[in-house]
Amino acid sequence: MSITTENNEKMITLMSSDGEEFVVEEAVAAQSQTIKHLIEDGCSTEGSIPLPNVTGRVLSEVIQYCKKHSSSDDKEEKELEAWDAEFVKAADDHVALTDLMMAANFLDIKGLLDLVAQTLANMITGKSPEEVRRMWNIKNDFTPEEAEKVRKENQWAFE
Amino acid sequence: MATSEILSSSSSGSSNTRKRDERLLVEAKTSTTTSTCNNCHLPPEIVEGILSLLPYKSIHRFRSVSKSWSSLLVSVDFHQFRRKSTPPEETIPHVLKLLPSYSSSVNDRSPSPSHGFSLSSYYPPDALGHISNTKESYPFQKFWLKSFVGSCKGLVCLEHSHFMPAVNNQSKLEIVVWNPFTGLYRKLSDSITWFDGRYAHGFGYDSASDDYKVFIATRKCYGGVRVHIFSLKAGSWKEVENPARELQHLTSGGSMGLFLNGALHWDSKNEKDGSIKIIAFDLAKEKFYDVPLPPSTHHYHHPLSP
Repeated sequence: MSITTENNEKMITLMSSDGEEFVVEEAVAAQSQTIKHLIEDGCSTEGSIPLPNVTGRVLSEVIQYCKKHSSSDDKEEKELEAWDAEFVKAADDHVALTDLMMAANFLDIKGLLDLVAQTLANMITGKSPEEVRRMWNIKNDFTPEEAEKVRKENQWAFE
Repeated sequence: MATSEILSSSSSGSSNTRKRDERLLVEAKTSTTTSTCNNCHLPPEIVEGILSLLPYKSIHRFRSVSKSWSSLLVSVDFHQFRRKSTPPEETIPHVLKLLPSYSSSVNDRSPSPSHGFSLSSYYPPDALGHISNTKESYPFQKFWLKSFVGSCKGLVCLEHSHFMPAVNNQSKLEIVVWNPFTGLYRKLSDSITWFDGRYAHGFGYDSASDDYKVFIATRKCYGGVRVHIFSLKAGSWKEVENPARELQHLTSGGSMGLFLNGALHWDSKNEKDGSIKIIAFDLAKEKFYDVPLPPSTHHYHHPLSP
């Protein structure tokens, strides 16, 4: 079942993993290739599209992004860039950004994926391997000898 | 907790959606299958997506993060993917064109500049923000630079003499391919006896087999030209049949072949009538061919330039 607004915009309902529902214009949701395919496959007729990989908190951010990017045209490129910068800044830390990147990956929204990847890349560029491990809880599985060897091979990158 | 959130968002969900999810992940993984991130909760394609945006220095530093990161960051797939996603102006190959040719033609036996060798002065200053003081990272300080063989795609091929006090103070020629950005270099195996005379040399990339090749043309004992090429992939030298005899008569343009469009180029001068000819060596086909000149330029000499 799909609802139609006064402007004759088709609306669809997205349901997050924690049961939150978001009613959005189909054009906004279709920025996600995943959702677009689901709509095309007729999966939206049951009333809402469940997105079991995305929490409500993350989904609301994603929708915010899609709304902005579906309403802007090319002329506003500069403004959109500034908006993007504020948007990732608001995401605050690498945990929120990583969540956002996982969602953008699952929902297949290229613009958002590129934006968040670049932000995370900028964030870690100057960091040490120890700091990066801590950020994503990555286990250091080198033996002390292997660690020494790989560090020596890349010594220039630590200077 | 951060990690548990990430974990739950990737592991919950109906089997139906998970299947779809997996399909998407497989589709997204077009460029690599190397990294499986076993010990963290980031899917490999996300790790690759982020790391491919990093500068070289960070990439090398993060090889120390974990085994899976290390194997991802040295994989050919990763670097090909990275090259594709990096705008061309941000890749480094072009800067090295500015390196001058240290000529070592048959007559010119003069050794390298005796006051050391600084690469940094050849780079435009802003192109190398992340490499400071290249002079100090030049790993061959104690060797005598004999010739600059060529450079291509960010790699530099040099030939230097390796002084051996233990062996009657003899010196041995050694060719190295060096990446000034990472400091890594590779010595070429020297299974070939080099005769004294050097006519020409060059270094280039063969995109057909994704291989780098070093080109050396020397004088045969009883006259004539002998050409050997070294494939970095195969790790060995081989002799090229039917070498261009004109390599014996290169102009003052230099003995270093100019690498362009998959071929090395030299200009030679006909001893009898003084006409100029451009000789090219196709690195993929490993064959010589002539490059036609505009008719009016036959008797002028303009050194080849990119």
